[in-house]
This record gives sequence, structure tokens and C-alpha cells, in this order.
Amino acid sequence: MNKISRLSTKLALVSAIFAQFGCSPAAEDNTQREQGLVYCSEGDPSVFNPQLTTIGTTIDATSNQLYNRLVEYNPRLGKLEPALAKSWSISDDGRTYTFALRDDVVFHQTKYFKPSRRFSATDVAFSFNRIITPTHPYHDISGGNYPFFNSIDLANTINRIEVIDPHTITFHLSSRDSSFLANLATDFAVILSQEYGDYLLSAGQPQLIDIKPVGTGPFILESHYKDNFIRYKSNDLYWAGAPKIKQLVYDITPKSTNRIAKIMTGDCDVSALPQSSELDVIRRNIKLELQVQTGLNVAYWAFNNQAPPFDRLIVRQALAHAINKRAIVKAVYYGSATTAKTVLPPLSWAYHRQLPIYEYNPRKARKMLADAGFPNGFEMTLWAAPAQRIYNPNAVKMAELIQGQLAEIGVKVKIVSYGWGVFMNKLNEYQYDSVLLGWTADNSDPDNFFRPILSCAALMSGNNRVNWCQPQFDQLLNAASGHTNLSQRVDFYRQAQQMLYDEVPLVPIAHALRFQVRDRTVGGISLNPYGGISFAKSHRITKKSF
Amino acid sequence: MWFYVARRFNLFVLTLAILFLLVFLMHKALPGDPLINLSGITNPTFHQLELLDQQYQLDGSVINQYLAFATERLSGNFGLSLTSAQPILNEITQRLPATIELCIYAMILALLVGIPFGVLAAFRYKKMTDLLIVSVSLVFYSIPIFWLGVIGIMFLGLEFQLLPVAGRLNLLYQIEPITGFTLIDIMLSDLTSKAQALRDAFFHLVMPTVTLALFPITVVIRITRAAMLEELNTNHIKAAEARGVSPLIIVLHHALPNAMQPVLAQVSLQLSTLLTSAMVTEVIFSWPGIGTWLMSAIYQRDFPVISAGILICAGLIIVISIVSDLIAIVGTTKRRSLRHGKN
Repeated sequence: MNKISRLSTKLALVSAIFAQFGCSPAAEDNTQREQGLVYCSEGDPSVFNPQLTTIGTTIDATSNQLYNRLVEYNPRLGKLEPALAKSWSISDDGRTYTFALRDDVVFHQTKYFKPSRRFSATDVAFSFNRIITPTHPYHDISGGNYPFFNSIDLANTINRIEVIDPHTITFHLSSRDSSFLANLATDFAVILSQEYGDYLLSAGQPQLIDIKPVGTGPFILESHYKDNFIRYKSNDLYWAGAPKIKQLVYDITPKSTNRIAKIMTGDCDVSALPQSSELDVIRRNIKLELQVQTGLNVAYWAFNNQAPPFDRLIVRQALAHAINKRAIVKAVYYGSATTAKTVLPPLSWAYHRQLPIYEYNPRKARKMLADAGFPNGFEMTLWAAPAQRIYNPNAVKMAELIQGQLAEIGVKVKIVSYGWGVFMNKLNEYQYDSVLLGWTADNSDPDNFFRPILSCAALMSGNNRVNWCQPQFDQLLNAASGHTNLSQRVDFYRQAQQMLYDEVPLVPIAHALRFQVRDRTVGGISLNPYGGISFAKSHRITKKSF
Repeated sequence: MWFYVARRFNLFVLTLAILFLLVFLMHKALPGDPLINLSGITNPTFHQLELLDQQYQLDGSVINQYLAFATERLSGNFGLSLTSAQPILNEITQRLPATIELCIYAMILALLVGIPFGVLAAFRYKKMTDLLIVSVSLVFYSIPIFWLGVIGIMFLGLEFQLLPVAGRLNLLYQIEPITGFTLIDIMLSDLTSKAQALRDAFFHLVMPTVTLALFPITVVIRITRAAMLEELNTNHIKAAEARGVSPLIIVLHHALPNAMQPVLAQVSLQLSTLLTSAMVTEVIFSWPGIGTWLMSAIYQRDFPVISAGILICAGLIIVISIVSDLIAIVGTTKRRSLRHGKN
């Protein structure tokens, strides 16, 4: 009897301890959680400086969180807005841009660097000179490759940067460039601190400028645990008003199903890139909201145009006829995308509506291959990364579908696949026959769809994966950006699209819709058609106002 | 006994040597530059190249290469990871505690649940309770944990949203990794909301721990039951029964302590299985331990990490089994005088 009563007291104690823990993890929030926000991102940033890359994951983690640009693009109003520059003026010949800068901007106070002065024109000059001047002490740091700026040939566009006074700066262009301001508004054109650069140079560790960032943005980098998380704290001295959340954490979760699981169980508040197959689960969950945005992006199948037999037009045309885009879009995107005629999405003002298409016709493809001297087909490699991108939720699956479709015309496809980082590095060796890739626009200018991925300059900077350089095509692009008259520009871009159709250096496959999931207790995060996400205005919605 | 210890030590060295040999041969068979695969330095400078050549003796005979490889690895130089360019040893020390933490909790849970049920089953031998315990444990013994983990995620995590399904802690709690064990680190941290953080960590632990523990629980039940049955049939138990000692005291006081020794010896043999299951569990629940690390290395063709992972995991299992063997020898009076081991 005595033992039993002792036992029951023990049991009661144990259950009391368990009761302390409560029974639901998401039952009540506490201050620590309410003041912070967790974003489930799809990958690790390669570097903390968006000047050095065009990879969306890195841009998401850096550009709008840590840095600012001179001007910013407002996708809702479709026009440029002041950011670090209060106002700007353009000379009549279109070759001189003068910016009046804000005088109330401070750089981040971090554990590793305390700035002594405010943001000024010398910082702007420093940031752009790093890119355009090969003799600049920072030009070759972190590889010295600025893929976006190289592809738009910024070094030759800007003749000279002139600091007029601490709050005025002038860019002298070598020729008229109607996309110049739009390029300054891209996620890549961030402003770094010159004072920090000088400090690191004197400390003998200039490479840290891209690893331990100092910017002017709404958040300050606190710690980065590779492949696990990035932790930011709010910048209380932010010039556009301190963010409402105290802490921002990027939970690096490469698997899409894991991101969905985390947002459903409350470990994440916002999640990137849900897979098309998971959309229904999200729509059914009342706690979550699915945000949709027509994406300015394209997924394409690029041939290595210098590797035989892909250097022959008829082979490329045959392959273009052999794939069924409609079936691919249905199976890979579950309908959350449209088939692509050309690299430019139909949304763009320069889109060529009358462009013909390569219809799906395996018999014709087979005949063309026979004409080209391959009656029994050939073997080729198709590279596809097992990583999810905005423009392509599942490149490996797409590759498998293409493999099946090409088997019908006798072409044997070998799929090659590596993790994203290794994949991008291996591409630089141009060992592939063809590769599945894509592009997400950084601004609304159509130039952004052609020049960064198809121009000769892009071939030099390693962004041109079709290994194709046509001076004639580059001339069309230059002509288009040299004019400010819209109808003339449209004309040149149509010719460029026609040329892509004729030459088939790549086969455009789809334009994906862009999705993002957020918990309904979080607000102020808008989805931008040009890629980069921003948490500057994010906040918790308290239950009362809900 | 000392002879036995020496024999075990011999075995330990020999097994390690063979393990190193296998990994070394694997390196030989890998595609790519052997120096990059060994060191993880992708673009070595001329100076580095010279140094590496010296370290790994690639110009020497195969035996020299093997010895150089073993020396480097034993001195803690595992090279760099190809994907992160960080020293692999650092990555191991960051991730190993998470795996060990999970294993320890699962083992504790297995003992806490398995022993009482095993004793109960033996006590009620061939009665309804016994049959029920034995059959249920057989069911869980046969369920693969990757299936169980996924079912747990589906129902407890996604359907009813009771438990988190990934990670160790909500990332908004900022905990400095001092020991690498989440619960201890939370206690050591200067967080204002320690109780909530502990609660959160506890909830993150539930599903991985239970998933990982289920298999060992069934094993512990079966071993305990068998050992108790044997013990309950011995003469001193019968004598105690004849004296009229209460059954509860007989079981807990007379039989259990003796039955525990074979149980613990058997359980230590389960540790290698536990480590293997822990890797699967980690991948299912995105637990940032050795398992997820090794798995992503395999996806990324990160050869230095894969070989380091094999060495560490296999080495760990060898060390654990030999140490537990020795403990069993020292702890069991009957076996202390044996010249040869016996299980």
C-alpha cells in the first residue's frame, strides 16, 4: 500500500514536469520569437558581396539585407526611386549622370569594424572603381570577376567617376546608355565602405571585405555557420528607419519538403521556393499564405555551341524540334509556368509576339539529323544540377524528360549532375555538350535578358554558358541600349530575338511563376519579380490586429 | 586479465590499420588528382604542392604512401573539405557532439523503457502481458526507422502540428556552442528566456530520439527478458521464494542486479547499430550531425570529407566496442580471470 502511494506520488510529479513543458510547441509565442524572424532559404551564399556573383541565393542573403544602392527599382510603380542618392540629373547628351547623396547614412557598427565617418561620395567611387579599374587595390580580391558588370561591360561604359564634393558624385559615360540607371538599381550595384577597405588593406587582410561585410543596409551580419544558418541583427541606425524586427535568421534548408515542414511546424516564418507539387498542401493550411508573382525569368537548355556536333546549326535545330516543351512544363512545373518562345518573357515590352516556334516534331527532327549525317543519332551529355532555382524547380527531372524525348530520335543522353557549387565550377571548364540553366532578371530592362547570358563579354566573364559569341548579336544589343527612343529599341530587340530563333544557340523552355510562403503572423515582405527578397519592412502582426 | 587487455589492444591496433588500409585503397581508386582528394586543396600553389608531396609521399612506394596517409590522419590532419574549404577536423568537432547527444538520449530512453518492460515480461512469463510485450516489441523490431521517422513527421509534425520536425532548436534562440550539446549549452548561455529555449529544444528532441530509440528499446526488452528468465530460475531465487520474500523484492533486489550485467554487455554491442541508425535519423530530421554532413558530402562528391567520415565513424565504433568490452571484463567478476574473451 505504502509503495503504491509512493509510486503514485512519483507519477504525479513526472506528469507535472511534463505539464510544465506544455503540449504544443506553437501554442504561445514569447518575446525572443516575436522580435525575430526566420527565413528558410534554399542554399548557402557563396560570398557576402553581391558585386561578385549573379547567383540568386547569394543575392537574397546580401543585397537588400546588408547593403543599399544609389537608386532602387520599385516594381509596383515600375520606376526608379531614390535610395542612397536623394536625386539625380542627366545631361542632355545622356552621358553625364550627377547624383546628390544623402548625408544621414552611417555604415554598420560591427564587432570587427567601427566606422568613424558617415557615408559619402568617396564610398560610391570606391565601390564602382573596384569593379571598373583593373589597377584598383581591391579589383583582384576574391577572384576579380564581376560577372554582371563584366557582362554589361561597365568598365567601358563608365569613362570616369568624379567626386564633386562629399555629397555629390558624377559618372561620365563614354557613350549614351539608356540602361545605365536601371543597372545601378540592380541588386549587384551595392555601395561598400571605403574606410573599411582602407582599414583592411592596412591590416593586410583585404579579402575579408567580401566575407565580413560592412554595408549601410537594414541588417548587420552577426554570424554565419556554413550550410546551417546566417544570423543578422537589426541596424538601429538605418537611414530609412530601424527595422521592426530585432533579429533575422536564414535557416539554410536545401530540401524543399523540409522547408515546407519547417514552416508548417513554426520553425520558419517565411520560406523560399516551394515546389509546384507542394502548392496544394500550402493552400489548404490556414496558417500560411502563398504569394505568387509572375516571374521575369527563363529556364533554357543551352548547347555548348563550340563542341561538335553542336557547332552545326542543323543539329541544334533538330534537337529543338525533338523536345516537347508542353509536356515538360506540365510534368516539372505542374502548370505553374508558361512555355517559352524566346528568352524574353511575354511580360516584357520588347517581347516579339510574331516570333515563329520550333514545333514538337520528332519525325522532322530525325530526318534533319539524318541529313546532318547522323541517321542513327549520337551520344551526348546533359548537365543538370540537383538544386532548385526560381526558374526551374527540378532540373534533374527535366533532364530525364528530355532524355526520354531524345531517345525517340536516337540520341542517347547521359545526365551529369553535381551539387550546385561544384556544378557551377565545373561548367567553367566547358566539358558539357548541353546544360539546363536559367536566368532571373535583375531589372525591368530587356537588355538584362540578353547581355548577361549571351553576349561576347559574358563569355569572358563565364556567364555565357552557350559558349556562343556573335559580334552581330552584340551589335544589336549595343544599338538597342544606345537609343532612348522606345520604338527603336523594340525594333532592335526583336531582331535580336529573331537571331536567337535562327541560330538556336539555346532552346528556351519555360517562364516560371515565382512562389513564396509566409506565416500569416508576418507582414511587410513583398515578392519582387526581379529576384532579391527584402526584409527591411518585415514585422510581426500581433494577434489583436489579425 | 592483463593478458586479455593486451590482446584487445592488439586487436584494436590491427583493426585500425586495416581500416586505414581500406580507406587508403579507396583513395587510390578515386577519380581525379590524388593530391586534391587527399588534401582537399583545389588550387594548390607551387609551394603548397611541394609541401603536400612531402606530407603524403606520393613519389614513394605504396607502403610509404600508406604510412604517410595514416600518420597525417592520426595526427588530426584530415585535409580540407572540397565544398567549404574548411579544415575537416573543425567540421567534425562541430558536428560530432550533435550525433553523440542524440545517441546518448536514445540510449538512455532505450534503457529507461526497455529494462522495466523486459523485467515485467519475464515476471509474467507466458502470460498475457508477456505475450503482448514480446509481440509489440517484435513489430517495432521489424519496422525500418526511415519509414517510422517519415510517418512521425507526417502525423505528429504536419498533420497535427504537435512537434517540430527538423533541426535542434528554433534558430531565434541564440546559443553559443560551448559543449555542442544543446541542452547543456542552453543552461550555460546567458539567455533571458532559458525555460522557453529548453522547452523548444526538448520538443525538437522528441521525435528524433524516439525514432532512434525504438529499435534499441526492443533489443533491450528481449535481452532483459532472457537474462531475467535465466536468473529467476537460479537456486538463490528459489531459496528466497521459499523463505517467503515478496515477489517485488525478489525481482528488484535479488534478480535484477545479476541480470543487468549481461544486459549491459549486450547493449554496448548495440552501439554500432545505434550509430548507423543515428545517421539515417539525422538525415530524416535534418539533425546537424555527422550523418547529414556525410550524406551531403556524398552528394557533392566531397572525397576528403567522405574518407574522413568513414574513418571517424568506423574508428568510433571500434573504440566503443573495445572499451565496452574492457569495461565488461573489469566489471564482471566471473570473467576477470579468463584468458580469452567470451560473449
